[in-house]
Amino acid sequence: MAANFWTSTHYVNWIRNAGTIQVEMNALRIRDSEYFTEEELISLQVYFAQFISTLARKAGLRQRIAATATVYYKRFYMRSGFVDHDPRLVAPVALYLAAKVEEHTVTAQKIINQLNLMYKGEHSYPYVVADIYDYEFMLISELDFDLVVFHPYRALMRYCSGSPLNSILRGAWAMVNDSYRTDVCMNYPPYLIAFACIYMAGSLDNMDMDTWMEKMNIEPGELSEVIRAISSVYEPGKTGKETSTLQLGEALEGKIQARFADRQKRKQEERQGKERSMEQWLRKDKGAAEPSSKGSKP
Amino acid sequence: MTMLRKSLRDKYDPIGKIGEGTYGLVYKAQVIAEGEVAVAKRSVAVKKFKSFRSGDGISPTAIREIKLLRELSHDYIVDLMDVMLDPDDKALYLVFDYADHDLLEMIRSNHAHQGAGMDPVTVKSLLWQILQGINYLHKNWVIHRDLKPSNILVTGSDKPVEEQGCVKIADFGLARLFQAPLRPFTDVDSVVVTIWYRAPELLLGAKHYTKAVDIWAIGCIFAELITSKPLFQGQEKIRKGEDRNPFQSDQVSQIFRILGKPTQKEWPGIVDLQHWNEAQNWRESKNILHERVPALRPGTSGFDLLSKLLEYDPSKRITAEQALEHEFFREEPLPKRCALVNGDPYKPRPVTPLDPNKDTGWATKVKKNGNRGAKSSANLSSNLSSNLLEGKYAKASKKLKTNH
Repeated sequence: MAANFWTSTHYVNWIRNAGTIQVEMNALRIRDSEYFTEEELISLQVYFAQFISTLARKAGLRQRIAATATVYYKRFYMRSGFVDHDPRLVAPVALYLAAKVEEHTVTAQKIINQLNLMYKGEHSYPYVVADIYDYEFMLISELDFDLVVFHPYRALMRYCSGSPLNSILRGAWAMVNDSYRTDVCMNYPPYLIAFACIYMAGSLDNMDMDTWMEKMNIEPGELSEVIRAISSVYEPGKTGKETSTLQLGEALEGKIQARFADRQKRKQEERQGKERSMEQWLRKDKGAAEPSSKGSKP
Repeated sequence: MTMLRKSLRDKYDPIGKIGEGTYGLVYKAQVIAEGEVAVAKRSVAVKKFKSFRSGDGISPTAIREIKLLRELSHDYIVDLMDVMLDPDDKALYLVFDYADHDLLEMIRSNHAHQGAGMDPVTVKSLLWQILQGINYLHKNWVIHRDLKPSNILVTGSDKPVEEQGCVKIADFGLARLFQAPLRPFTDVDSVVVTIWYRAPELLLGAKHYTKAVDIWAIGCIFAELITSKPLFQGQEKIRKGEDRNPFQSDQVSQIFRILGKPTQKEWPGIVDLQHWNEAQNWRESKNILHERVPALRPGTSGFDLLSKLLEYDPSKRITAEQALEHEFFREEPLPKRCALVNGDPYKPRPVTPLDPNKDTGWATKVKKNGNRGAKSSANLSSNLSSNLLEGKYAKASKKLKTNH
């Protein structure tokens, strides 16, 4: 598996070209666009990749885990609507599951604590540990239980470290991180994304990347597609601003809050109701057992 | 693998319980065939993980098993056919192809028939298949970490003849991907692998697992197949308090007693291991492996292979790939795909009837092909376990019996 990307669930079940994915997601996004504008929908993709990476850092989880979580997040919304599932919950649950998969389990409570710290503004963070558990269940099944995700970091290390390209490793690494704000991880195999980032970082450093490409025997066609997709991150105003802060924009934040507030309230009530009826049932059960013993005592 | 959004109950019919562990329960079940043709019903093993509410979400053991088995596919590795979630009891179920035997049961059965050791062709074929499976895992960067006879399943007479007597390596709850571990393996789960099959480097305090730990376990299993007795049967020291991974001195001394105390010359890395300090002053001993496994005479290829599987220094221990090339497998009798000779002499694994008080959720069962109404009342009774409802359940099942 780890040795063979080409037989992995990642490649076989999930890598598709952008056009195909768009067609598949069309019906979903039409429903979403009744509530969110196109710009907002792009934000929801880009912003939450950033959100996951910030949350990961605060929870002491490595970038690789954030990358896996981001892929889960994207796969989830490939099949589910933003109007039906609150990204403020799906994103942290993706991170929670990714941490487990990458053998670095954190407690749901720790995630919730971090979120409570992050949401200090107008809207407090509306979800609790039980929501994380419920959505973990939902997420893993939406992912069809395909959990192993390949990333460009390994290929990056292999081609850069110990070679003349070592000097651009840092720059290329940062570009790989940024690439998760685009959909390249859904469309291309990781090694190609690594090549694209090496090419971009090398070119920025005025290195002769075309000779390198020839030497590596890389097809320029596909590579330039990947490069174009990743560069979109750096074009201001195109796929959302550089979001260094955790500001989704008040308007959109409010919209999400409005969309899910009722649902969340209902769910909480339901949960409390369940607990109450459980208590009642327990009490009743006790009560039913006791009369006879009480009855024997005058 | 098809991931149909059908409920567990519509797809699998529970028959009985075949195992129980800390993670949950394992059931035998039958695939509910689609269409009218009444073919021989295919059996499956359904592993139920405890409700995710009892711990922190879905158990990491379940996650490990799912994530690896979704990616793996090999003749000698158990086949994960399906994963199901039960939204009602918040439990997770893994569905595996069924195997009638495991090596623990087979070895026990041979032990019970004193003198009647396992057929040499069977031993060689089982060993060869185990090595094939482990070679595949290792090539895919997976270390199993918990190889022992009970985790090695063998298909039996419920399968078509050409599929009988095949090894299915199971239980990947401790298995790990080992490329670029994010942190040393031993941090999270210090106690891995039943100590009888645990490699000496781990016993002496090595912090990182390597493929070689699986090979050691295979060596122990090879000897046990021949003698029907565990080779190194140490007393496990129970971990308590702070020390999550105490020095298992008895297990180490069992190994030294049979293989001889290792020297720094034959295993240079030993000096870096934490517990060697304690063990290095123990008295010297000689290698008496040939006395413990008399059926393999020194000088034979079988004995040579066993010695190489049980090499002290993990960096010199034979790899699965090398072992498959060993002389032992090139000489007669050659290993076979069907390890059982003259049919299947072993009894199928025992299946415990379902207990409506313990086997809840999907496994609640009244009777084979019982009607759904009765099933749901049984479900209620198991959840509430009040006398009244149990009475109802008994009545319902009686009714079914008389109807039959």
